[in-house]
Amino acid sequence: MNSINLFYVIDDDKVHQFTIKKIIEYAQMTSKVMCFDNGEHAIVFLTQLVKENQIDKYPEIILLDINMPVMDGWEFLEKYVLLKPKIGKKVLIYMVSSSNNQEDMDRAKAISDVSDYIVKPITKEHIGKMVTYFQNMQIN
Amino acid sequence: MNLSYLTENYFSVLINNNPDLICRYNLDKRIEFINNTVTKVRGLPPEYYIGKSIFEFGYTPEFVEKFSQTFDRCVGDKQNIQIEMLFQKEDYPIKIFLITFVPIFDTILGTEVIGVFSVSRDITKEKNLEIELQKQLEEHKILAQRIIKKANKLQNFSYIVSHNLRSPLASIVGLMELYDAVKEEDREEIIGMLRLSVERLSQTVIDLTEAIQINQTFDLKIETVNLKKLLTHIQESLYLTIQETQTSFEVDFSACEEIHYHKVYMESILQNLITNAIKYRHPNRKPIIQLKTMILENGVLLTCQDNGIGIDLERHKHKIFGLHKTFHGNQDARGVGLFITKNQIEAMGGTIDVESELGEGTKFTIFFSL
Repeated sequence: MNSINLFYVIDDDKVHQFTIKKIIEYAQMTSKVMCFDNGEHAIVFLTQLVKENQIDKYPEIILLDINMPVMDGWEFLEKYVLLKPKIGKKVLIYMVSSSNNQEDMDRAKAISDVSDYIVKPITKEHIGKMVTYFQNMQIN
Repeated sequence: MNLSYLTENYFSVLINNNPDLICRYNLDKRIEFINNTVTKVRGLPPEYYIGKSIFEFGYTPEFVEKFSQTFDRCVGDKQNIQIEMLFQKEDYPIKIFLITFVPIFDTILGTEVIGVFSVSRDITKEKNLEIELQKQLEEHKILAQRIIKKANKLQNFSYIVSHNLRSPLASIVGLMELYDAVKEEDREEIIGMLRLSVERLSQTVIDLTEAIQINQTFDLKIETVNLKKLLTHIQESLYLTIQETQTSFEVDFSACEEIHYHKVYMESILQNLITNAIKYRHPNRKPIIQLKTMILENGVLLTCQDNGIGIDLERHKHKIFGLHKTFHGNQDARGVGLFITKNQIEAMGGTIDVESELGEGTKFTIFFSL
């Protein structure tokens, strides 16, 4: 069965990073979690992977925060779209923010690369749905 | 009275009862006819004016000159001309007249001008009303702008609440859920995280309360603030940091040394700008902070320029003054300073703007309105 090997968590909030790690650990998934403190760290890392063609380190799912220092979630998406053709693998991106601001939600939903918008806190149900969605997508 | 050209008596009745002042001049600008209205306006009978020229009534030179010029243009162009004129004479209140000059031709189809009619209407009341209206309109505009600003601020606040308060709260809710799901040995770590989140939440509440208080204070105590003294005071309180970072100051308050302002705000504004300039100094050079004042027509400008790392305004301009927005990944940055600074400046009716070049430095320009 196709499973999720790697999550990227792009969020400056250490508590949020910790929570996701624990949820995934307790969900008895084999998935690994990589955390980035802001969008720029993630983009630099991804760019390096593309250069070195390290396909196995691409994530299946990215959990992306909006408000972060240096490079926020929106900017990350702009940069990611440029990298996407070179990655050549379907990556699910979920925007995960504490903002329940309609403007943010609409903006996220207007971006085709964003699968969904999740208002924090993220729960094991959210993660479960993502996994199911990912697996269905692989079968189809 | 020479009314020979008025063939019908009713013309005379009409003209004499017209509220406008009607006057006929020959080309020497002497009055040949004036209607009875002049008696109501000036208290003198028409006969007093007949045969006299416009120059003989002791009107101000400006009035006579403008009148005379327009008269000549009417004759030269053979066309009606309408002008508004301020009528000033020592013993009369200032009045504004709308005067129409009409050329009189020699015959019905004639081409030669032999005189000029002037029809003067007192529009003082209308004019004053117009001015009053204009004034009110301006006031309403200012009021509307203020309301829009307030509304924007409210929206900003609601955004801040929806994000900044929800963020630590969401952490807490998430952790609580986790707490129930995990094994005993993992719970202590969760408690530690909970503690962190609660601290963040309480700090956010403190920050927001401070900002709200700034916006709600209406009568701020204004006093004369000596900028040099204030700066010295701030430098003393930041003594260690300034020594450690070898920060130097280039100060020019010569244009304006004192500002009437809320002293606590001024200190907070200046201290924030200086602390920021030091915090975001360039790693390869000693920080230099340039402070300068300038006098404008309607206020005072204070600029604070540093040679620090700068900020990419194309990316960050829209959020540089937001709450809990940080840009450099600095661990000790809380993203509160500039938010408070902007609120304090705006509460006093001023503005703050920023220019920056990445790697070169940042310049803040504050406008204090007077």
